[in-house]
Order: sequence, then structure tokens, then C-alpha cells
Amino acid sequence: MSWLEVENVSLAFGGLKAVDNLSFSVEPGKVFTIIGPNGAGKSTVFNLICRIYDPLEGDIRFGGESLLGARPHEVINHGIARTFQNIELFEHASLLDNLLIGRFRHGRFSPLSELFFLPGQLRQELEHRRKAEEVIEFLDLEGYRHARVADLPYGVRKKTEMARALVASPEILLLDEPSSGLTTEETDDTAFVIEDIREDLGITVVMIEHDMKLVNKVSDKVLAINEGRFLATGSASEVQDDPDVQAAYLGGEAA
Amino acid sequence: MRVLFRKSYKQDIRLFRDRTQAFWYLLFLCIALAAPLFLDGYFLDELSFVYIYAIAGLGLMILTGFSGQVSFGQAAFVAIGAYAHTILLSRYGVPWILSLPLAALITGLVGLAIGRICGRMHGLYLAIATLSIAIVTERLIGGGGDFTGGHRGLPVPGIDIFGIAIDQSWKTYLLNLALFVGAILMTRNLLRTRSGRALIAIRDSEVSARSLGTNVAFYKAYAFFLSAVFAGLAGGLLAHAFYYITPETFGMGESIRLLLMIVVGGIGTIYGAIFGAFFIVLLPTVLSWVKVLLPGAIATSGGFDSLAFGMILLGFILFEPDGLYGRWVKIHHYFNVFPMYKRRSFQRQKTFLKTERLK
Repeated sequence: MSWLEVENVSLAFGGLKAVDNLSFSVEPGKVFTIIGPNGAGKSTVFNLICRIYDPLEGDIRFGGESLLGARPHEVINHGIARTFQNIELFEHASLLDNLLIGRFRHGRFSPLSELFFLPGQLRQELEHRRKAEEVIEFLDLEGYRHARVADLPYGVRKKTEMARALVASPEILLLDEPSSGLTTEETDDTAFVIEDIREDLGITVVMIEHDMKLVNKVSDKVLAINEGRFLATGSASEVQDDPDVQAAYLGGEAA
Repeated sequence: MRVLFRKSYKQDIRLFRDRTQAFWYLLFLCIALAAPLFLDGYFLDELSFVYIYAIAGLGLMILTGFSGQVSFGQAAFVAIGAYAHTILLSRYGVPWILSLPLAALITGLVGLAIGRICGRMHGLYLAIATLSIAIVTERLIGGGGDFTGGHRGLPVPGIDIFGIAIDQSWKTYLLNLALFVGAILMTRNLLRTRSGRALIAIRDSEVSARSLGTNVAFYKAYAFFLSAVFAGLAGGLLAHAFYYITPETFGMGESIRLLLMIVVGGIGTIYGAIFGAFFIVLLPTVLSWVKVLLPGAIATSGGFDSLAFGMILLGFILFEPDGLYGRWVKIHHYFNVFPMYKRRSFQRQKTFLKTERLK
């Protein structure tokens, strides 16, 4: 059963074809990795799923329902949360506040209740906090709870962004280069975290990644793209052995 | 140095961090309530102005400090509130107790409409758009003929709540204090709940706020609405403090003064609006004391007040961009960790570079 389906999607910026007739599908409970050289259109695929860009043609479906009718802020209501390649945190708020903002979709706009802090608010806040604490424990962020995000080291910020996506309790998590900028130890740690997200939380992961060690360790399925076009798909080793993929990375004629 | 032990999630949600903090705030409140016993009318009126400006400042803080939308138009909302309140009172005979919230609501709706339009703009464009709103509002009120009293202005009726006339300094002082405390509590409640966090999210990163489910345009307009409600409330109270309102009272200069107020106070904090209000209202009084000490030629020259104000502002921007509140935090920290204070504690280093940001 395929679940998240990207079907014949194309997108162009002016004359540049960023995504060219790309199709793939992600199955639930799996880790799906997208690889490709710089400028292959990997992040663009994420931005298409998150409705930041409108595809010129094709369809994106999640659980059988087309996402193309959703506005960018409604994507999360379908259960799709994401992180960004260049960390987009709320810099001047504490880590805890960042996570509480992650709970946004689990509340309703009720201005009077908020401004007068009616009793229901306290109950909701405690519920959000409990959920945030679960994720803080899951990702070992206890020591940073009240620190301002702008003051945190890079590795922790990266984790914080993942945590913020997780508190939204998504069904599918899009990770844009979870290991970029991390040390070797932190990258190893990330591999365990991604396995735990799949095993313990039952959340499907779609990630963009360059670190092949990490890709080999956690991916159930790998998709390679270049210049917006499909190159190969399969297990990590199958894709790495594919002559087109090798040509895309190393240049020249395929062996 | 005091260490805060957290034992319950409620500790982070409650109004006061701990008993010590609650004690200090309640002590301040008691002193403020008792002020009419030991201050004379002049100082009570000055403090009333502080409270009113702080309410308008809190509104601007919600808009600029929390949702990140610079506005040079806050005085326009104050003007709309003041005129709506005065016209409702004197022309339609609406009771005071209804007229003030109605005026605030009318102002809020104007703010909502403007927020809907301006919400797409950022930075300089937004600043210019709101500036033009300040100018247009002043003109519209000036050209309003008999309805608004035009440039001749309007006399403001006295305050009458259920037959009790609020006609003495200490009475208006307490009324303003009550609304000021109410405005602080509302802002605080906003910040510890979902909508307030959404505003901060929008300020810091629109793209990720959106990816987490925030309807950015909606919450930007909501920030304009709340900001205008506070400004309208302040306008209604200010009208009574002036007894007589003209469109020039709420000109562009006033808008700029309000924005500078929250910058000097410390942008992005509730304290900032309050400290800024004290600064802006009490500065002329302090300057008049200073003038006594200066040679006559300087003291009596026309632009002295503006010059002093400009110099102080320049000083803040150069040496303390976090404003009075930022300075207070540093002093507090100094004594907290004495004698281990390091200047470096407050130096922010850029740990990474932001590139390829999506707008």
C-alpha cells in the first residue's frame, strides 16, 4: 500500500526545470531517503509536499487524498511535519516555547478564553506541556528546556527542530538533511533517533541526506534524483550500485 | 544567588515565578493603590499619563514587539479610540461604561481591516504604509466637519460610572491604574497561550510558523486587532486626561514617540512598554528640573527638549539596544552573581549563519 504518493510532478523556475516528471511513493512505517547531488531538487520536493510551491503538473496525494487543495498552513493537519535544512527555529523564544508552538495544531482559536485565561486554558497548557516533555525526554533535551534557542549549540538546535516537529504528533516526518553540520558522534546519535522514531513512535520518516553512512544505516528505501529527474530507487546498496547514480555523482559516462 | 526549583508544570504557566516574585509585584500594586495618600494631584495626573501611555505601548508591543510588524500608526488608533469614545459620549449619550469598550472595539475593527491590508508587507514597506495611515487619519478627523469638530476639536465630557462622577485626580488615577493592570494581565495571558506563541512564531520565522499550522495572514491581522483595541482604550482614557481633543494631539509625531517609547523601554517584553511609558511621560518633568541648573540661554532655547530626547534615544540605540529593561536585567544579574559578573555573559555570538531563508 502506498501512502504518500508523488505522481508525475513537475516544477520550473523560469527556464530551469527544478523537478521534472517525478514520481515516487512512500509506504507507512518505513524510512524513505532521497539522495542526489547538489541542486538535484531534493528540498524542492519537500517544498512541493508542504505546498510552499505549486507544481506545474502532477498530483501529490497523502492517504488517497490530494494535498494540492491544502494551503501551506493546512498541510500539518494532514499529519505531515517537517524540519528545514538551515534550521528555522523561533530564535528568541525558549526551547520549551518552541515545542509548545509545535503543539499549535492541537488547539483552537479562542480569543476570549485566552485573554482571560479561563480554566480550560490551564488544562490545555498542561496537556501541551506533558506532550512536550515526552519529546524532550525522547530526544534527551532535558538540560536545555529553558534556554533561549539562539544560545544553543548547533547540534542541539538541530535536535530541537526535530523535537518541534515531533510534538505536533505527525504521521509522517520530513527531515531535510538531519545530519548536516553535525559531528560524527552526533550523526551516529541521529541514526538511533531516526530508528526510534520509526520503531517506538511509529512515525514514517522521509529524509533528504548526504551522509551515506547514515543513509545505509537507517533507510528502508532510497530514491536517487538528479536535475529533478528520477534516477533509481531501491535499497541503499542497490541505488549506490546503479550506474546512472554513479554517473550523476562522479560525472562522465556510466560504466 | 537564588536557584529556582521547578517541581510542577504549573510553575511555568502561573503568573508569578515564585513567592518572592509574587510578593514584590503585590507590594508594587499596594504602593500604586496607596499613592493618592501621599502624592499630590500633579504627580497623580503624571502617573495617570504613564498608565495610559503604557496601555497604548502594550498594544504596540503586541504588534511590533511580539508579532514583529513595525507600526508608525499607533497614534492613529489612539485618535480613533479617543474620538469614538468622545462622540459616543457627547453625541449619542452612551453611558461611559459602555462607551469605552465600544470605542475600543471600533478601533479594533479598523485595526483588523488595516491589518488585513498591511499584513502582506514587511519592514520598510510596512513602516511607510502605517505612517501613511497615521497621516490620513489625522487629515480625516481634521476634515470631519461638525461630526468630529474638525480642527477646532471637541470638548470631552466628564467620566460618570453608574452615577458616580470621576472628577478628582485620585479617582481618575485609580480608574487608569485598574485598566492598566487589566491590560498587563491580558497581554501576559496572551503570551502564555496559543495565539501569543503563534505571534512570536511569526516574528521569528514565518515559514516554519506556517509549516506548524499557523495561518500567518490571520494572526498578523489579529495582532493588529489587539494592538488597536489597546490603543482605542488608551485613546478613550487620554481624551479625559486632556479634557479637549484636536486631531493635532494625535499627529505623526505622537506615533513616532510611541514607537520610540517601546524601543527605549526594551522591545519584545511587557516591561519594555511600562518602562518606556515612565520614560516618555516623566522625561519632560525631569528635564524641567535639569533646566534650572543650566545657563538661561540653553534652558530657554526652543529645541532643548527634542535635543535631549534625541540624544537619549541615540544613546540607547548605540549602547543598550535592549532598552531600559535590558539594562535592568543586567543590573539584576550583576547583583545575583556578585562578584562573578562578566560582561561576556550578555554577548551573543553568532554560532551559525542563516542562508537560503525562505520568505
